[in-house]
Amino acid sequence: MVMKAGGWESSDASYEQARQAALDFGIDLSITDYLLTLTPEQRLERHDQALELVTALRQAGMDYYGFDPRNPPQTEPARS
Amino acid sequence: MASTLEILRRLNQHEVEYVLVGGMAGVLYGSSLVTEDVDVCASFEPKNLARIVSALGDLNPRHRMNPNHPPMDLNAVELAGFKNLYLITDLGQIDLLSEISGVGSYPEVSRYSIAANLKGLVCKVLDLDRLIRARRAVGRPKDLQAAAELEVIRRRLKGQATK
Repeated sequence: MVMKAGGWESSDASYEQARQAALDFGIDLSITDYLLTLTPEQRLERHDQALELVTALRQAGMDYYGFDPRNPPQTEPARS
Repeated sequence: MASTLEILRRLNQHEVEYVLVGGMAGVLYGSSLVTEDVDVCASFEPKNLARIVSALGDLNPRHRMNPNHPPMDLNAVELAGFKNLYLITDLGQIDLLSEISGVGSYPEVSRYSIAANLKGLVCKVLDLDRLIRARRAVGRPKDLQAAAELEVIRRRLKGQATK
């Protein structure tokens, strides 16, 4: 495996399979590539910033809808 | 507010025996997945439970899985009846687990941990091989997704080590 500008290249077939499996799960490996250039503490800091954003966006969603859109209130089915 | 380091600092200050596991351990290895809770495997021996109470007691800890979020009973003897503690605190969510699927209870998890230095804060983190194994053992879609990314990271690190 060699690192090249813009990413990594590997001739290792099992590595390519692992990458494909991650892509199939919807993982954006360009972000993973970037995170691996950081130190563990930088990764943690970046994560906590992202979590703060997620929390703020989630709160904004709840404020807008009046409920948590991940768990919408059950509505009674209309009676005929 | 997310404050992973502050939670870990609290645990260290009170000499809690723990190993960082789960999504936050994955973050340290380079995972891009955002997680809302700090998962740690801890000894549930009375002495360690008393330390946990000391570390988290003034952070308004509440039981997360109970819809009413009752306050955590600050009695270490009572806590000994739990296998896991899922808590919300003023610093965020923390899950204290007495054992990890695919790895074992605290002594085994501790044996397979590495030391991470985070801005001077040293904590044990489950090693990458066992972290992947644990994720696969739990087997929920989000765990398998996390394992898939960690597998890429593991193979990359292995490739770097053998170059």
